[in-house]
Amino acid sequence: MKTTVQENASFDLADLRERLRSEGGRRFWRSLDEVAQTKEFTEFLRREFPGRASEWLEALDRRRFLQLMGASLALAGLTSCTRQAGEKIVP
Amino acid sequence: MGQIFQRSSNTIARASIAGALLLFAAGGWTLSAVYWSPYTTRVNVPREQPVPFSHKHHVNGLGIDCRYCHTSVAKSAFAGLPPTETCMTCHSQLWTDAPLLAPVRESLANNQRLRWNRVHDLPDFVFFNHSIHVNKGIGCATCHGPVDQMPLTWQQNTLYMKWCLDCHKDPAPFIRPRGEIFNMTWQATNQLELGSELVAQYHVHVTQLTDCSMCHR
Repeated sequence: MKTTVQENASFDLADLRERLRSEGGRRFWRSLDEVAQTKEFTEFLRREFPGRASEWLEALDRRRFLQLMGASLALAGLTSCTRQAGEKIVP
Repeated sequence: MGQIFQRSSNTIARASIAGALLLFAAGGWTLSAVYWSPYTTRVNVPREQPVPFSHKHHVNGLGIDCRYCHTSVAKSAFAGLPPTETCMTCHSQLWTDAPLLAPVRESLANNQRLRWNRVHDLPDFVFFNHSIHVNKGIGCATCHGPVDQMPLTWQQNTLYMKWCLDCHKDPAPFIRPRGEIFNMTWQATNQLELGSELVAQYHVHVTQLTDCSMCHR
């Protein structure tokens, strides 16, 4: 696989397409993952979707999951503890 | 090394067990009390209305039949509420200046219907049909109580499912002859005997009455 290191800032989708197009024959690329693993692409992705930085990456463990689900269930049940709201009736 | 637990721990442990049980029981009792209290059921709580309409005056005092206003009670699921015009059959002549009736006059003048506060409000997941009850011998007063004695209408029964089932399981103590449906003061001398007869005579299939789909459709 061709590993021309490019200037990070200038690497964009056009470059990516160019790279995929230019490789053929014996050097034919086998999967998009191969491209995705390159440093430039990771950097490109990070710049393109900075929102991913705030994503919750820690795994949710079983206890925390059960706590949250239990609380949701209990709170959902609370809604039935209210009095029926008054209703208007019209001829 | 000293003992971790003092001798008094025994007492504390017993007291906490008893206390926890007591708390649990008290909590259960409180919930049940709230559930059955007039605050939740709205039983015997007169409902405020835009016009303080008195069934007592109109039914007991003047002798107007239920169906004069609740016209569709024997024919449809909804008993029906009188349009302003029904009020005006009399009140265009009587008490025409009464301040209490101002909303009625405005309603007619502006062609806007009166918006009453609903007294008997079943949950939306229950299907209820007035006509089948009326036609199978359940009187107005059986569910609505002595409406002819209510200055402002209140709810006489909880309308809880338990209450419905009391009759759906065994209608004999409640059923009455069709001719007495709108009689507010009717009392049978031998209700159980008459009831069983009427259940058979009106083809009330008691086993079907407790089918879930009977009310929850």
